[in-house]
Amino acid sequence: MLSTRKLGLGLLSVAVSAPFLYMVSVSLMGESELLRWPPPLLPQKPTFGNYAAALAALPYAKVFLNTAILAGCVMVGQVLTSAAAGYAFARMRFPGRDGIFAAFLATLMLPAMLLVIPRFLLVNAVGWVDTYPGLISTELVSVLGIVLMRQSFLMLPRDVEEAARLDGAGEWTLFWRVMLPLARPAVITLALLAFMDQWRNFLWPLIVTRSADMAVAEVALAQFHSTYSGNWPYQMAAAVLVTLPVWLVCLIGQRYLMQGWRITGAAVRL
Amino acid sequence: MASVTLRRLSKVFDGGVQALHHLDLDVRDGELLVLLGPSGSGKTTVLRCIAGLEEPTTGEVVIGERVVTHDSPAERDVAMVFQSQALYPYLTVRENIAFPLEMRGLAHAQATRRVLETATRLGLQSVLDRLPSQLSEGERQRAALGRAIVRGPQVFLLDEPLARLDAPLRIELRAEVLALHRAIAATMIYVTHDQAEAMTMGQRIAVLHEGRLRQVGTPEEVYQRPADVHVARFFGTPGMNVLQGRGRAGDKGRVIEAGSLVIPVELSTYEGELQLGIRPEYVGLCAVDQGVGNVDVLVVEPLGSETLVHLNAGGQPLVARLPGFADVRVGTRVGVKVDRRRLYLFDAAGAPVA
Repeated sequence: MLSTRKLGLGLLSVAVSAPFLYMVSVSLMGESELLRWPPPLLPQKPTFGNYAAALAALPYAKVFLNTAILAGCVMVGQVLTSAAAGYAFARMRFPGRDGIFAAFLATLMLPAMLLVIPRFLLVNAVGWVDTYPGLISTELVSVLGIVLMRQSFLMLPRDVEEAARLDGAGEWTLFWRVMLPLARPAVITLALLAFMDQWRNFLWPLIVTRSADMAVAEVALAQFHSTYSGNWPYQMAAAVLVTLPVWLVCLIGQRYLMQGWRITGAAVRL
Repeated sequence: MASVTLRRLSKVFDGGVQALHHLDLDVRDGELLVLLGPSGSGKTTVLRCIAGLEEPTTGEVVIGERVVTHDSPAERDVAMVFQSQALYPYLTVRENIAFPLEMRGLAHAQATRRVLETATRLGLQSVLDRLPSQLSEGERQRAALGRAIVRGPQVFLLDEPLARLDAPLRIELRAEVLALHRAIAATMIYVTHDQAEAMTMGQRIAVLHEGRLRQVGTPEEVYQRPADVHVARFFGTPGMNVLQGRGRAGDKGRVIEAGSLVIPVELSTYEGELQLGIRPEYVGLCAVDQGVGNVDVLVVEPLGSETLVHLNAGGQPLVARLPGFADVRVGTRVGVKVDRRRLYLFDAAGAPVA
């Protein structure tokens, strides 16, 4: 029983990681190596030349800065909005609370694609196209983040909150000084998820930005792809560079990411 | 310091469960009152209503001269110690104890001094900079006490603060809480389900059962003159024997028949269903047919200073507490003596019969 499960999980992890490993492998090959048949799995003579070339061809500093600004701002913004809304839904009493929360949940069923046009029209109306505010503003609230934070606030014991009330803490102090620190694991999880999501964000930046100056990682990578469409090792080197931060975040924050999926899993069951 | 008065306090929870029924209680200024009851009896609900964490459905909470029924917890100037301690896990002991002072906007220098005083009183000086997770269970409970006493509130509420501790530590901290009460002469309401703790700590004990206040009195009063059969059963280890019986006029005057026992009583009027209470220390054993009835010995528990003998009195359980090591064999049949002056009679509903 256990071994079947292990075998299944093993196969799955190979299937998931194989493309990434092959991406790294190809990025280390010479340009002509991939023209042979069958294509080789490993480079004959590993070279870092592609990396040097990819770094030279892309305005990496600018692209990384743009992506970091987007991912960083959205990360902070989503943590703040999700924590505040999640706290309100979990611990405050107000009319229509559960109805409003259900409406929020319902929006999760809408495909994100559906909202791209309205979002663009809004951003365009305030003249923010091709600017940082345009890139960032509509990403600042995440329903999934609110669900995650609500659930983690619901799971906190009441005692500490009540002790703080008796100690004389007001609603804001209670949220900021007591509940938010208690929910720190969920906050870290949410921050990591938001960061990773934004680092990989492609569609929205593609639509709302135009100039090369505003390009984020995924958009730059796509442009790189169309410029060097034949040169796979070259493209794979650029792809490795662009995904590197996400890999690092994944490695470091593994524990928190797993926990986040567990919490939202519990939340969806309500 | 202040007195606490509850007037006709009732609480019905959202699901329709009535936790408290018209509770009237006066806690005197500076008194240590123990609220005692089995789990689910409503004692924590009483405490939460006084603290303002729960709003009573009807009735009033008065602290000092002020009606505070609908005030927020912060406005009531009460402190509470939770069973779970409820310390802020990411703050040091020092910051935990300082938190209520900070919330009340006390000047930093003054707060620092008060925190140190409190820590010294509780023996926490050496662990002030540790986090709660780095403390022993006893130190954590002391820190929780410290956070409660540091701002000198009018009333202290303690919700089974020692229930989680092991026995030696519990006894040690029990003495400390008593010393603390004497030192600061505070009004304290102490919730517990442990009757021994209630007896040793309470100046008065209020006994709750199923959301109703059954009796309020000194430890001696509730032990010697229980207001009903629930209170009678609750006190003592083991508690009072309560036998289901029937009063009847016999050849030699009135008797109560309970299981295999026939006990003569001086009871003028009562006939019918009765509950007969007798504490284990007033049950004695004798030769067969020499007492008020014969019983079978089920279990013998020698405890050194005393021996508990569990008996079967015609289908009803009866416990005798005998001094020292008693020579009683399991499975034998023996006679029972009772001290007739120590009998308690209750009617079928549990109210005392004079």
